[in-house]
Amino acid sequence: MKRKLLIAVLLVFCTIYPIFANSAWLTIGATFFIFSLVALSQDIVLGRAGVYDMGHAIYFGMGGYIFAILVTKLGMNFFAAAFAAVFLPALLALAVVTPVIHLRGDYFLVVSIGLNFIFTQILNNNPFRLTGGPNGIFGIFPAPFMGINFSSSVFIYYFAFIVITLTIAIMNNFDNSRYGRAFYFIYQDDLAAASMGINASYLKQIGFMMSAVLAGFAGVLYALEYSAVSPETFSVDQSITFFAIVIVGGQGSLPGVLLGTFAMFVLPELFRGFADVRYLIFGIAMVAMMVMRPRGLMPTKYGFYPKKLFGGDT
Amino acid sequence: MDIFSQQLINGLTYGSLLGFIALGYTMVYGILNLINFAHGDMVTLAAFLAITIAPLAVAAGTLAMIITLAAVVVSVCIIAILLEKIAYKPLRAAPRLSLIVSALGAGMVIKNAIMLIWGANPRIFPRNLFPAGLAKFSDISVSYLSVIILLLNILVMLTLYIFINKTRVGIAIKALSTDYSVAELMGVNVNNTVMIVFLIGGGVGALGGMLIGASYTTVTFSMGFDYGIKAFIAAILGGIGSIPGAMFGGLLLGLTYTFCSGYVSSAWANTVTYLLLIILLIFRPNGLFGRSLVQKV
Amino acid sequence: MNNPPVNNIILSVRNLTKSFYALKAVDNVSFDLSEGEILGIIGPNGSGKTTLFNCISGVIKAETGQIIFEGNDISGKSMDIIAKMGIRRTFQTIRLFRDMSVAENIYSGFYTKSNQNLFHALTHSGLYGTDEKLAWESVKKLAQFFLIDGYLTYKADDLAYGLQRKVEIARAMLSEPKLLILDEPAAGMNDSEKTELSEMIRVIAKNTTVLMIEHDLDMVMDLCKRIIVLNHGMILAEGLPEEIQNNKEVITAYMGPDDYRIYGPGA
Repeated sequence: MKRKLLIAVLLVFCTIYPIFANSAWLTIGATFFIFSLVALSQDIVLGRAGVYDMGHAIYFGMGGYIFAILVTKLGMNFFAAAFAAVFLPALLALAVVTPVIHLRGDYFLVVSIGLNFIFTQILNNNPFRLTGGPNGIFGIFPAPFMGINFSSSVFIYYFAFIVITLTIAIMNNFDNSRYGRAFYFIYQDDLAAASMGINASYLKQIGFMMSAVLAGFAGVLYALEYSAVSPETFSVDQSITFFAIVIVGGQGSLPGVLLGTFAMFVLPELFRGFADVRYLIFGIAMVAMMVMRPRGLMPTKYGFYPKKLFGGDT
Repeated sequence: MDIFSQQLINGLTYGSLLGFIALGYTMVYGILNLINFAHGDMVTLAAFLAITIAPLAVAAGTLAMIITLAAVVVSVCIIAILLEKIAYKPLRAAPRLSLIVSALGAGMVIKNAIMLIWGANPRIFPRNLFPAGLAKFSDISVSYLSVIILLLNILVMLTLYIFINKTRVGIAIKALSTDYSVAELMGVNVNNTVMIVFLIGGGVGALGGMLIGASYTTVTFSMGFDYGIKAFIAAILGGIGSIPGAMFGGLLLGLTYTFCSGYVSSAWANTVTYLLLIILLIFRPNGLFGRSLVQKV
Repeated sequence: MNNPPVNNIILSVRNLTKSFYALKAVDNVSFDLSEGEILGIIGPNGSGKTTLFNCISGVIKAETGQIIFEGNDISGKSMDIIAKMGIRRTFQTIRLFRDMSVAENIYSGFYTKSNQNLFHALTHSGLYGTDEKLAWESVKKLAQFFLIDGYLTYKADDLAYGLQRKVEIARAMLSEPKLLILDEPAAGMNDSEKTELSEMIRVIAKNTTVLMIEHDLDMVMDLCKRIIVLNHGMILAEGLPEEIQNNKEVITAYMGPDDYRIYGPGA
């Protein structure tokens, strides 16, 4: 009951937020939703399927850049560009990840970092003059449609809010389903899971595609919010941040991941004055957090079974 | 002097430097199954410490170089041990991912501490720390520094090889790398052995850091990550946990990167290097010389 | 009471050989398994029993030889494909999903029977409701049969060893497999638990073929209609319990070259 009340309060707060938030704070709000979306997508791959992906910013970046290129260079309308930017990363994720999905954890980690480096190098090198080099692409203003201005702060805020709320609801569904639980089984013991007929590689690929779609969506939202994309937003440093958020927050834990995103992306805005020491403090916090709570701030609790059938739950 | 020989020497030099750093990674990973993400930042720290200490040691005249080297190596070793005690030891029984994040955090702390102390701008490494000048072999000129680096590479590798295989401590390290729990039960003092591994990795890494500074003149607080990742890749290439493998992997990676830089384009050198690694791992998931782990079911 | 032997051969192993470097763990092993029988594999430690099971269930790939299940060649196929074909197993070192509840562990057996697709999983629409209900009710029923329904909410890791074994077997049985492979199911159990387990296996064997490794010879002689003895990776003897008990070579392999008899039921 308390949990439902808390969720209701948060939902109401977020819905009326634009009424009293100024333009800067509106941006912070939307940015929180956007980065939470990426963090959640990282959580699918790392927190559930247990894949050590430290190059997740790639899919975030693909979404942002594909959208940017389609809108600015090809003049595409919002819907077509967004559709492509959301689903192409999934295909690319599949193509890129399939050959290496069987690698052991740490090696996959290094490969993912390598892929991220390749990605940012491609963005920086501006092949075929598509990606805009180190400055990126700016002036991303898709044409309005039926009176909706896609670049308005309020629109983007609510768009992002709806997307993340839907994502959380859907992920919650997923966790309590045949596939969601299969992810946990793979994570706990992939050999035992295989003996139950669960194909780990197949599920990991599905996880990657799902997460690429979410991250791609976040990329589109980001491109809209800032009307620009540049390589630093999608660098290995960012990937590392998302990786850390999932582990520090607690793998597979929704509130943990949201909390972690808040700490890494919103708090710095509140403490702008301390910009220099910001990462030093993060570093100390990461070490301290892991030493004190190795399983994360709010680790997932397993032990699910339906109340109605068995009476009471864990 | 023709381009090929020049690239060859550059590649071998860069590769040797990577090898120095890779040693620290491979030894720590061999024992603790941990990628010490903070290692690259400690290498950077060594370079910056040298920048500060070298001018102070000038007063000692000809001994200045040795004093600086010793002081830096000792300082980094101390920090390596502190790092192990604070960020890794408490997590020995924790899930692997927690260790990874702790290592990342520790690296962040060191990197930003360097930035806060020495500033965000690139700094110039003392020129007189290592002998300067060129040696001439027929029509090829090689800097003394490159020769020193290559020779040190071989020397360190041989020394460590003997150490690991012929001394008690070395065998303890080998034992822990092979089977942690059994070694523990057999009476290996885990804490001390781990400490020694960090000492060795830190010391050699510190040496590497100063050699990097001397080779490339400028150092930045953020240079650790790139060296670190390449060094870890080198360790994987050579077979993780293997000391000769780390050196060999470093040379291979250094040559690949340098030749690509020279002959293809420096803008795409990283891409090609990482692509090669990925392709290699697809076909040989345990690196060039790694052994596959047999799982008992 | 065991069913009378049915001539339908469900599993056929032919000339199976598996080496680890220079050691031949399984050496040219051949045997047939009839549908509905309980076949026991015994032998001294290190005789290759678990390696044999690992080859059959797809954990490792044998060098030479064939494994034919219901007419299909499964040698070298991956674990999950073999599992989907109707073979389930337990492990020598218990491999439960440690942090998850007993109920969830058993539920994992329902994966291959479930009709949920990705869309159902994401939206909880359509047959999701009925599928979940069926799954959890099957879990509860099976837990009751194994007398572990009081532990459904417990974390698997918190259970005593003997109970964990039962959970592992329940998990394997949820999908109603055609062949159940048990690797030392009675290890770590006391006498009353073993009696309970024997009864359960007898009931299971009414609808499932059982292949088991077991060191408790009393239990093996009691349960199994047929026994194969492995030694150094090769089949030493094959036959009815009484024959095996009196087989000189078997006794020598276990006890050393002295004239002791293995005491079993009816000796």
